[in-house]
Amino acid sequence: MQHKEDSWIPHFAGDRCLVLEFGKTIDRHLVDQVVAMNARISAALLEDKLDGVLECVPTFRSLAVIYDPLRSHPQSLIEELRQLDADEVQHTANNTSRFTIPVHYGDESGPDLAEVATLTGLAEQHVIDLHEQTEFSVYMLGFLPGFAFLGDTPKALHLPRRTEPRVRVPAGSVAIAMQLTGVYPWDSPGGWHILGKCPIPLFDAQHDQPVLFKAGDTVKFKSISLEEFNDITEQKTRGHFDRNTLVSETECGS
Amino acid sequence: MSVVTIKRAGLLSTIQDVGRFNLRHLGIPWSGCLVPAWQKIANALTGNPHNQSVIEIWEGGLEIAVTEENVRFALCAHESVDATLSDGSQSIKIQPNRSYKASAGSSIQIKSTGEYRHAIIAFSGLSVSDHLGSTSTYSKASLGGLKGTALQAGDEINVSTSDNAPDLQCHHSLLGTFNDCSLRIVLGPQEDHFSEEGIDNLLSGDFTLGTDADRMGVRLSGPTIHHRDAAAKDIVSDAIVPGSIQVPGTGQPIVLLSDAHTAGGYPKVATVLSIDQPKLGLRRAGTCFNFKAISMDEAIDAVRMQHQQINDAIDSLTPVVNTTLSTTDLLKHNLIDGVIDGRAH
Repeated sequence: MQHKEDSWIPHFAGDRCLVLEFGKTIDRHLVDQVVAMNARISAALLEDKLDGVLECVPTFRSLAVIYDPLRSHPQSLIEELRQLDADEVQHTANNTSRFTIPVHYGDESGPDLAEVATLTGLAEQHVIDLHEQTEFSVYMLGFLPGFAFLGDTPKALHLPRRTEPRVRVPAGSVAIAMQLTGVYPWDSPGGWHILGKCPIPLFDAQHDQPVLFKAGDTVKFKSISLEEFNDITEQKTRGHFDRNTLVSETECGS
Repeated sequence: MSVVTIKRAGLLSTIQDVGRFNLRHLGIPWSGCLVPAWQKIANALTGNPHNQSVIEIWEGGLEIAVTEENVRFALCAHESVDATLSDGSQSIKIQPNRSYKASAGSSIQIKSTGEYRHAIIAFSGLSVSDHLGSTSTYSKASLGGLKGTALQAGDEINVSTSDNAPDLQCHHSLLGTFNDCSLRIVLGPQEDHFSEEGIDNLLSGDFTLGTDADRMGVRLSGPTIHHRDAAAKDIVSDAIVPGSIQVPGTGQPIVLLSDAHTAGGYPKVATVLSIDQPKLGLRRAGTCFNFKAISMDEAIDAVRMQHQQINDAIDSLTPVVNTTLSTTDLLKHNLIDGVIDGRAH
């Protein structure tokens, strides 16, 4: 089946999940459609429509709609969701935020910076500049709790994953692979190229909103010195760091 | 209010409830009991609401001391479970699927979960603080439980003091349904990534449960579930739910369970029905499973029917008739009257 512009194909994913597929590639245009549909569903739920819909999971190219099989049947749900496409939705819950995230590039924080420079044929500073000057969209979260896939990196930085994944990538590592970049919220295995380190935890289990980003948000990185990195780390350890300072703007989408 | 203390935590004993919802979009799994029907029945047996937190026990080795006042508990497990309740003077074998009162100073031991890999124990009024809307333990992100981890020796858990309500038991046939090794599936969302031969193999082959199995998922081995072509072996990451059957390049399936991650890049040929997923978590390595494709209408009907069966099971709990005879009881009867030769019929 072909995907038409701004359309989705429903796929069954068991008795609790319906997947609306917008496409099969990583493409900012698809992410925008997924985020918009997610917002339409949120708005409909606020208006007590779509009985039985429990939660939605946006990905690069699809939106998973989780429903209660005791209250909803996926066939009728497909019809109700199609109706949302047609409806003029006035209010959406599509509140996106812009973040500026500090990164200490290179040195021990970014063990792969030199290799990335070699592989791309760029100077190390040029790699940093390209990464820092790009405004990224949050495409989706997943892989690990709080891991945000951000895109797109400039073409000059596109690299396949490392041939040998690391057994342990330290939490806070800022890395690139393919056209994507991300910040590891946890110590974990990983195959991306590590350019730097962010001193702020992107997953805080004690916070009522444990994850900073959501799909559709905008993120820029800002280069900081090792001294600044250590300063923020110390503020964080003392519990004096306010995550809200990272938000530059919150927009109410239409 | 009373307290129970974990004396020995065993291999892996965790607090679980129905799960942590509305956070999958942030990459946070649902978690929750692997056998939701057990959670509801164990809670009903102890007079709790259905969604009360319980302790899920893997393999055994769990010892719980009742430290303050009398408490009420129920164990849901395979009938071969090896569990005892001791109060210092006597020790009785705990039968699954019924409630018991345990007096202060007694000890509950689940030595082995028997033929199933896990069991659950509910206590009347078991209370643990919520963490992002759930008490379910997901230790990879330090969520839930008492401290974001599995239970440890020395942990103390608040429970209610038992009332005088009679002990209850459940005999519903629903409890036997996990023995069957047929897994109902709905094809999709990426069945078009597989060849006709691959799908035939999925639906006709025997698949053996491997040793790589935990709360996140299980690996099975069987005939190759062939991808359509080399390019069909990967997808751009798409949502995963418990029950998703991922097929990586090896052509051998991985079925995700309660702690399933939220998205992944392997195509998913089908999804195991939510009500059949417990079978995979309960059975041991070497168990042979078959997949049976059903329509979405059949799937929804089956799920609704099991929901009704659980309600019926809860409605049909019966008080336990005490069949244990004391010495005094026995002396009242002339039990050997008429017996001349033990071999005679």
